[in-house]
Amino acid sequence: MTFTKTATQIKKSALNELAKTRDINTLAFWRKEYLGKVGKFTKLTRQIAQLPAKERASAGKAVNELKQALAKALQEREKQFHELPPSPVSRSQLSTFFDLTAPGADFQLGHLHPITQMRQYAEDIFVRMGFEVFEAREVDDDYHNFESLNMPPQHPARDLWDTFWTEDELVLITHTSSMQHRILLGQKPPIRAIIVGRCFRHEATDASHEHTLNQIEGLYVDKGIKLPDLIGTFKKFLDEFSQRDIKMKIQPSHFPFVEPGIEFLLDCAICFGTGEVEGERCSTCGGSGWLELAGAGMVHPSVLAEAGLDPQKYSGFAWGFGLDRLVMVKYGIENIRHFYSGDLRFIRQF
Amino acid sequence: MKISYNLIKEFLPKLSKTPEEVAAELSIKLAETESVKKFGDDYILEIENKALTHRPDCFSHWGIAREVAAYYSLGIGAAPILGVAPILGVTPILDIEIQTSSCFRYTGGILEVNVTDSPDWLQLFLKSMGLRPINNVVDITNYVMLKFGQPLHAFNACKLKVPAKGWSASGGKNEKLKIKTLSEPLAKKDIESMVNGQWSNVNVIVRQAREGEEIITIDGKNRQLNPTTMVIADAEKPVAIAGIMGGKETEVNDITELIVLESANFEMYSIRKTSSKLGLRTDASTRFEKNQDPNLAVVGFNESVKLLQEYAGAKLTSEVVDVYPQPREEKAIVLNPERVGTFLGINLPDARGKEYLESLGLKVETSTETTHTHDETRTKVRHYKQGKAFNWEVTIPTFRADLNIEEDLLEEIARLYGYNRIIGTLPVRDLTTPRLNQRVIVRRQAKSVLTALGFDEVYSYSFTNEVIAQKAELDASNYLRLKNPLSSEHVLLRQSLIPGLLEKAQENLKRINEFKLFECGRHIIPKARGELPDEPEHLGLLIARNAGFQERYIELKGAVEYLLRKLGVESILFELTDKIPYLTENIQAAITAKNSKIGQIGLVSDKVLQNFGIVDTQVSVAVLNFEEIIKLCESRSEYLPVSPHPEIKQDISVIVNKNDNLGNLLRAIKEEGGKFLQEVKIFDIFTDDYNLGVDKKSVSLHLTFQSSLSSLSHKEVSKLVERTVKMLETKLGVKARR
Repeated sequence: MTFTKTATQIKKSALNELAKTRDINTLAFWRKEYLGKVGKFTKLTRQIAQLPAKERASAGKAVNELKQALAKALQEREKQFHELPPSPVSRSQLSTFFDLTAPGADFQLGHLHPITQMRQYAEDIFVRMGFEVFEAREVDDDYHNFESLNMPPQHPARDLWDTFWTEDELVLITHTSSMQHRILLGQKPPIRAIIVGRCFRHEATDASHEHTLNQIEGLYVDKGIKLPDLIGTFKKFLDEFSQRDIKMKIQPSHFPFVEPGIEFLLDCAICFGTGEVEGERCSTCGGSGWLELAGAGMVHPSVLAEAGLDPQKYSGFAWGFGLDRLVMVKYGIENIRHFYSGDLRFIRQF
Repeated sequence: MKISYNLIKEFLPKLSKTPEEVAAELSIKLAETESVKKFGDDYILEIENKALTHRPDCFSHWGIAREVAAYYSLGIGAAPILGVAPILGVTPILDIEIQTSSCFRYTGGILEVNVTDSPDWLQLFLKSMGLRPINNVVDITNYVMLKFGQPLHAFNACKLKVPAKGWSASGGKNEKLKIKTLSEPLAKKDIESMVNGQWSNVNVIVRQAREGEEIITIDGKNRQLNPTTMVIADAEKPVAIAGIMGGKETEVNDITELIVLESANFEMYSIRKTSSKLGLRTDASTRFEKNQDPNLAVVGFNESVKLLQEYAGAKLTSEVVDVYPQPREEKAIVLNPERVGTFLGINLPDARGKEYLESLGLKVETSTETTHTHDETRTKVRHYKQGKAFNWEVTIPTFRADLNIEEDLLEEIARLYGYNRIIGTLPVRDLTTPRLNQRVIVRRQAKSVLTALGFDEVYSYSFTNEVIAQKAELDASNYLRLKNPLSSEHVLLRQSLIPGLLEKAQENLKRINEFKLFECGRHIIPKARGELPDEPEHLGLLIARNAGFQERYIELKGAVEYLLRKLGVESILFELTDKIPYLTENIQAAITAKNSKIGQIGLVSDKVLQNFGIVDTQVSVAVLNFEEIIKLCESRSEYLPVSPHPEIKQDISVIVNKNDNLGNLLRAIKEEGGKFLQEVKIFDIFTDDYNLGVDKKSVSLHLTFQSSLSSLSHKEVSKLVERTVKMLETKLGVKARR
């Protein structure tokens, strides 16, 4: 076949196929087929060099003509497509693959510790309810942690809290009640306070025990405050906190700075109070269906009197609960030691 | 605490509830009853005793039975043998002398016994209570304690030293003590020699220990005593630590034939102090330190004698001696029954409230006087309105020493009524908004900025130790020290967040190459001894990154600057310092704002990194004093109107010494640039030893000018720039590149 004939054939098939292109994408395939690096036209031009010298001139001419013809046809075809509105089909047939499922840019935001998050969440609820936020010291004296709370030295109830002492007989606070006296002192009720603080218990750490824990205390003193107010207020908080109508149980308890003293139990959110998870004993509540949540009670008259408030005139309630436990229950965290490990595999999940 | 259902039933034959029902009721009305376990033909209830630190009466089956009786209106009588000790033996051969105010009562007697194994039922019972059977005498004392709550002790009487006649426990210190021991069994001649005055009686002395005294207790441990320890002594030396544990020497074993049986009562604080000092908790101390009823001593004594007679062939050899200087009497509390409604929120007929109290063994009388109330007017008004309701005068039996005030009685009514029947209410209050805590708000803001900058929050313990401090080249000599640390790792209270952050970094570097951490926590700074320490809060920032030191420093500095700006802290300066031991020399700066030191920043030195086991990664850290930040950010930055006039940028390049601080240059430009200079930004720094000189670098800056009043012309701006450059040349000695 002569060179010119080949050129004519290519032209014919090229124009033919060009007419069949449907859009820019199929056009791109056509362009590759004929004008690409290994395209039919490109191959043809390369053959010129192998031709005998006398044929080269005519071949060059043919190639030029072909090139112009194809370029013109392509241009026209392109124009046609550009006048058409883009169709959704055309996007899905992009010749260059575009992966929409590839990950987005990584902004690498940091993460707040889960206890910080829980604290903020709880704090906000209490502030909405009208409580002022106070914070506890970490190291305090015997007077504020025990004595002002109706627990003279050697009082047996001190055994409720295994206590760290410093060498100069200061206390690492065992509970946020350590701030009660300071808040009550010299204040005219109504007093509505929550106290947030890092507390310490002299007990060895294992999967479910920590010597460092975070507490939120509530303290409400006014004229005519009664036991049902304690129950109602704490329930209100829990409902708000859990975003559901929680079930709560009360058990008698004893703390020298409240009278009566009670304990709030919450229905276990893991086993829904049944005590069983998939036929096994619920490990979160130990199978009882209830979680001990908070110690509470009506502020003992001695605590009020010690702070210069007349117990004949005022009454109040108080509670204390641990944030750590709430976080563990909420997320089903199996080991309390994660909290102070600083392990980013843990922190970055929250 | 373990309670046997069968023994409860022995007290309450009419009890028809199952062990599980009783447990459930105890949980609701007394203290959580964690489990009910079958043991032989008995059921053992496990009661959580942490809620009972005020109820020594409940550390016995009798006390629990009394509670159960109240719940089901069963009624429970007085203890089997109450009142004065029966005089069974008559021979006056026992002297008891109380020389300390911490012993309220001592009841004792000498018995001949036949020591053998206990009967099976008793052994089984003790096992069900978690106790090891020893012999009939010891087992019976334990049984009586578990049944009635009265701790008892039996001494081997033949090991007690009996002094010669004329010797007295309190005096005659220098007199050489002539002693003998009694023979076993007690020979007639021994008694005769005592009765006829040849020898003194058997002496039991309750006293404080003397300095230097010691005793080997029945657990085999040698214990050093001092005058805060109360002991039981014979004429010669201590034979028991009072109310806590007996001595090895006088222990009752199977060859003992003669015992002194002790049923005593000791002051709670003294017992607890000694027991915590010696680290020795026993069933006896647990009961005494909760203020056990001294009137129980005789119940325990008589019950024990009865059982010893039955199961150990006991015979009282001496008269029963009961030393009880100040008998505890019943007291009365006035209760205003109206408070059942106003304080407990329970709507209860008075008669029902009375029933609750009486079911617990309290006596309630309607008082005809109102003198007991603190607020007489209130009482009178109430009386007038309701036409009834005088106060109640409630008589409290001595076994309920925990009941002291009106609220205590209200608690009894509330728990018997059932807390779960009380319907919650919300307190009525005005619409006042609570005061906001500025510290909490600023801290939250800081934390949210830091997380936005990519810092993850970690928590470390407040505890530290010398070794870790030393690793960070910190001097821990003035750190507050714990008296009773849990481990050698946690003996001091931290004064820096850096060691904790470095530990956390090292841990995470095992898995991740680059990260940013922060912690918000307190330094505990001791003041004078015994005074409360300062607890300034700090923010610690750490970046672990593989990059040149310049980049690493700049990244952290940028974070610090951004954070402080966001918090509204203005005029921040970074000044080279050499005071921070854990940072690299020459790459550490003190951060100040408005003349307050607010922190420090720099690259952790190679040595410190090595100490913490951090290799192949570079770490920069910053510490900010949050207390200072709170003070400085109280003033919010003010708003400047957006100028409608265009800004004009001009660039300058200056040649400065390589070791000149850019901070100084920027400050100088800002000072000299005039009021229209809005922004100065460095965009290029380079060195060229050949053209600039080996000790020089070139710094190129964008200067942005803008006026809020008019459009500046390029000509005006050029003049300003020119002036600024001249000033820099004269003041800082830099050279402008033109």
